[in-house]
Amino acid sequence: MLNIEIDGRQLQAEEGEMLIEVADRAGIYIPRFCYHKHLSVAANCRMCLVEVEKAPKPLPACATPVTDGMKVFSRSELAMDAQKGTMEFLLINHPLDCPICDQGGECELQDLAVGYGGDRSRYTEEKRVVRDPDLGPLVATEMTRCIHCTRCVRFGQEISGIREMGATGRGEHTTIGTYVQHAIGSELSGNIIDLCPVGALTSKPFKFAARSWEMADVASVAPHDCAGSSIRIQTLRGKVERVLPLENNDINETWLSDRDRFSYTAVNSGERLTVPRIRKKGEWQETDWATALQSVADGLLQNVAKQGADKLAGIISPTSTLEEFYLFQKLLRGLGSNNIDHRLKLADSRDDGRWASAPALGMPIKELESLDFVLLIGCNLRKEQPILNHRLRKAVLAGADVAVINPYDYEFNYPLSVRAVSSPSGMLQSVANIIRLLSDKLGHDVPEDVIPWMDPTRINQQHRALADRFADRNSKSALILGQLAWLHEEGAILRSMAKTLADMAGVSLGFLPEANGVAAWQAGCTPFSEQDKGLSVADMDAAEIKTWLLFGVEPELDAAHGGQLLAALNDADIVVAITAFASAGESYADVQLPAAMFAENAGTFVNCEGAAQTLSAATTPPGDAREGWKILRALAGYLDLPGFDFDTVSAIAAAVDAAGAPSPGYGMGSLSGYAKTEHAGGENLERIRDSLIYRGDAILRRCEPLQRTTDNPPPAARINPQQASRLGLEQDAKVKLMVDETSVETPVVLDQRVPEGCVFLPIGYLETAALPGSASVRLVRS
Amino acid sequence: MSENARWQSYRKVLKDNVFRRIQSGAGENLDALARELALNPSFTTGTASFYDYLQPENRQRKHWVCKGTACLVSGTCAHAGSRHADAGEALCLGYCYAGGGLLKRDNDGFSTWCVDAESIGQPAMPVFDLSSQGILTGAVASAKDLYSVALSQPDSIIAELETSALRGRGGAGFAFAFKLAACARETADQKYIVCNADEGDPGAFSDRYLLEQHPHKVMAGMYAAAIASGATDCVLYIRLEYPEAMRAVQSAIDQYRQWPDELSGRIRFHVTEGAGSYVCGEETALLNSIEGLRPEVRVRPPYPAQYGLWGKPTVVSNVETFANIPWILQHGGSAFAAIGTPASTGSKLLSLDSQFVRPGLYEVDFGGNLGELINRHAGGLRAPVKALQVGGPLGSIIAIDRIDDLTIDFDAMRKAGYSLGHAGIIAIPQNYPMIELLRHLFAYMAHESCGKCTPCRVGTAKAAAMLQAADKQPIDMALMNALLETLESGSLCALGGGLPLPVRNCLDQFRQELQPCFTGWEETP
Repeated sequence: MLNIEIDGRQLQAEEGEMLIEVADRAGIYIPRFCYHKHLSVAANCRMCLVEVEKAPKPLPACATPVTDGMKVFSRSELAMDAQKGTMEFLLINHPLDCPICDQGGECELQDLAVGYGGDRSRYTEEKRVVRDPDLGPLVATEMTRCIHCTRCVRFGQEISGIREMGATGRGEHTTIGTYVQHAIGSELSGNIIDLCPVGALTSKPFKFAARSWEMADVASVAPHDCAGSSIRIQTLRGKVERVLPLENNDINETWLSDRDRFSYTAVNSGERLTVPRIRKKGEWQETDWATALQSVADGLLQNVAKQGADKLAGIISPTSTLEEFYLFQKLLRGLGSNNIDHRLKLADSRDDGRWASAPALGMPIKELESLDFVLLIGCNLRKEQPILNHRLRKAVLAGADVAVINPYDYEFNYPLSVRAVSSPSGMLQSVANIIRLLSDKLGHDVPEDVIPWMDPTRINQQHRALADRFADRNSKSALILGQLAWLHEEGAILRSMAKTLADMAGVSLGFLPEANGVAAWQAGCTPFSEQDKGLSVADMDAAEIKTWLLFGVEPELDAAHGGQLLAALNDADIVVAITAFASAGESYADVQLPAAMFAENAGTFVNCEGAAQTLSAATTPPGDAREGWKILRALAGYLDLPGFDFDTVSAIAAAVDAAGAPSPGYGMGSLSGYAKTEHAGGENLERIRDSLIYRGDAILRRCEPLQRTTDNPPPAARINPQQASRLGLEQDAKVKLMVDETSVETPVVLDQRVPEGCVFLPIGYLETAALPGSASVRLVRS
Repeated sequence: MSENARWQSYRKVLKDNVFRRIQSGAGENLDALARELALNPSFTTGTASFYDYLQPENRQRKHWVCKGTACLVSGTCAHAGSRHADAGEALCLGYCYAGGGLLKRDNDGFSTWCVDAESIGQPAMPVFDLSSQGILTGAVASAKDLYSVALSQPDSIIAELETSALRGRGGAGFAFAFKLAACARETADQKYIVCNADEGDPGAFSDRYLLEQHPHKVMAGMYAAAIASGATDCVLYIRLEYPEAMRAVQSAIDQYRQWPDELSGRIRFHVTEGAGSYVCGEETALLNSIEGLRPEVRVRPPYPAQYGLWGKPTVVSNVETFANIPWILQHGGSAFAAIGTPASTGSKLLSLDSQFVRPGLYEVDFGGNLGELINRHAGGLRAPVKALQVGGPLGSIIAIDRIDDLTIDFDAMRKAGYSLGHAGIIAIPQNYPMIELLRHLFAYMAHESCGKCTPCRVGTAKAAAMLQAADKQPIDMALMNALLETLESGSLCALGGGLPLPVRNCLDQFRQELQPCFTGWEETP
């Protein structure tokens, strides 16, 4: 520990710390623009100049390491003159357009100009003007305002890993912009809005919407990523205008994914349902709550009485709150049905009985940074969970290895040590082969149940490298299964093998839940959490379910088996949709009950590490729409179900038995009883199913700005160019994709990242929603 | 900053140097080059856009006329310009002694020529050795001996250099042995010795002389530094404006490679050619430039001795500094320390421009009188002169009546309110307006500022614009002083920080002449 003095205060500092860090910790404010605690030191703005005893010139506090006995004066005449001089220079070229600048009121330059600037400029020459690059639908640019702090440039290099912003030219002609004129492709791009100390980079969806000081500000939790990032929801006269990150060093530091930042735009969507609706003779009719609830209750009770409770099923969105999950399952179980699920991305439910507790990351999010080796299986972490990926990227920069076994060669923003890309069935073989190699290495018997999937003739260098890495007991390693593992048609086998591998290697096994999935498990929104086993979402279609209760979902778009569910819903007697959007389920629902969505309802969010946090309501739902828990409670009343007398969300939360953080509780890895499936070749291609970052649920699909980003391509069947030439297909050729009797049409996109023998066809597109989920599809030219 | 890019660049290091690739790739598809190098396009474009000779208008050009300070004030560039209407501007080709230079590009690459009103040619640079030992200009009997002397005493090199009190000749006058020892103390898998042969100060041609005439002295100095610090690779960063120096060094390296392994096997030499940027003479910008990054000045600490080229411990010093080292090792540090003054030991090269009666390169021992050198040895001036610019644009402006009071010595000059800098000496004719010189200084610096820090980026350009308009709109002296103050105290490197000194020299000594362009002068002290 070193002792230093700043402005007469005795302070302690660590060796190697910069002056500004010590000052910040002590609450001594030194003005700055380029310095940011999560970015490298640039020392280019020269705003933080301070006087240091014995130094001939003022020194930048951000780049001056502390030394023992150092005496610093941050507000002496010398320091203030230097700071004022810099401020005057910065204002020379900065336009005086604060009245029409969105940054006004929260502009670091404006704030500091009040303290350090003159009331008029002593310089009269013309200001410089800079052309604006188009950064796409999320970030608005006004580069004439840029003060060259380079925070956005450093963010690209150091945090998002995509160097999109950069400097060109030199001297006064230096401009900050993009090199190639294109929209930014980073899933963290919105952070440069927060980082920009002036109005050069502002939020496009928020443009000219409100002033920062006139908005109400509520702390909450972001509902889409399973990280549970801390956010601030800002509203003006009841309208949600903006979401900003709230610093939380355990979870999101100061960052926020674009998905969590801009998903509020759906709250203001024109598709919001504001009045209950009943379909009568094929026509939607608006009605009041009493009529709607009575008709739902009558319908549910009649059908249950007629067909039995096992023909009733409920699906709830994983973005719902713990309290909604609890009441939802309680209502269905009250009616006698255990057919309850939230796991829309689940394709293979054969291992349902093995879960001891909720699938979760298995470690605190922060701990990802300290791992030495991570194998991601079926996981495009960068787009699935940007905040978690950022932590892992930090680990890689610190020397960790990250490897993937994926069905598509996803682009990562850090180097991968092993990039094993193969068909979905090939992934099983890869894991099996690694188990074999690792057993040999460790002198264990090869697990017999895995043998059918092993193919010693196809052991390759990648398998060997991974087995070697797992054999290294000195590494802190983890195996993490992502969304593509849930969407895998033989996911149960993949999970079981992963468990075997993790146990054998003695490493942590994690599963990435969707959104608030951990809370759904804790609240019992799974078909097997209580006494009786019900049907999982993957099996509901085959059971001739006639009565459906949908909560915030569009199963045809959200689910791995969307095609089957769509057929079942079209075939149902009664579909009750509790939804925020009129267009959700519009074609097959019989009753729509208008629900609040995030930012409008309070509740509990449990993230992938098991941390429970409180979601706050920042505004009220539009029109007659109501919070989900209130709708469920009222409906239970109409159904005469007991035990729903809750008056607040906290009372519901107290009722949920959510003791302790869940560990990834996958019971055992055994494949006895599973058969190996052969995949036919020719026109039959294995289907790679993904759910793209901005198409995962009903809310995201209604976020107009996110829909216009480069991460939201039009629907297409992606196939390998070699495969395409064998099938006689060229780019943009129209093809028919067939599963049994059902077919959909879509254009072909040639994509080297797709393994041979496969077609990459994500879910979430209306155009292809009718296609049943299956391991393989037939592909022919239309 | 660009850790990733630096790492990518490091992987190619000097064999397939990224900066060289960007230079040859500029004008073609930089995106494709970026893909080939596995770098983001931002990287190649950002770098290429920085340099003068990689600008679109310069790619097709064949001629550039020297517009360095010497050529500018003596008016010779007007002649040269009239011969080549399409010519671009070169900023000092080191023909100041001959009064005009031309840079030419043809199928054989770049070459430089002396231009005067009558002829184009390559006259030899006049060299005058007034020193006691001729350390720098003296003939070399055996080039190999310059290297073997280091090889024979690896453990005493640092000590000898400490005894010699050799100071860096680039301008700042920093103790060389201190840097070398700091680098030697570091443990690293790789270290570098870098020679800053980017002598950009208009008016100085001493480095050009050494590189062209005595490349082995320079290289042997680097060689000794490499042996003392544990480096294996030496890089000479030579400015594009010195193509003959580049060829001389190349052939010296070829010669070196022919020598027996015990002499040349341990240490490798590489050259990197500049692409037109004065700020690359700043050591950290120069390191970034070799790496292929934008040559913006780095934040210090860490210093190059800890985190230099590709993040490895590196000694960066100037051509002339290295050229002294073989002599020191041959004759001992104390023999060197006995020459000159206690604070400035050894001898110094001074470059005198064409307005002196005997222009050329002078080697003098430190401690001599500036007036005596000029009036006696250089024969005085051809035409009336009012001031000397000493040490380039970041050096100082000395009124001609003060030269007899000045000693050629780093500290004595500093004490008198001047700076010796790189010791290029340009005479400012009596009829050359000082306001034009100020305009030139600021315009030059605004053009060369890397743009990274606020004071230099904004201040140089602003002052240039104000001076341009000063005839019609006199500048408020208080504002000028405030601007200089911010430039001096706030700039990240010596480019912005060093400019106020010569400007204040002008303002202080030529107040009467400059009076019409300023207001409020009376109120300021």
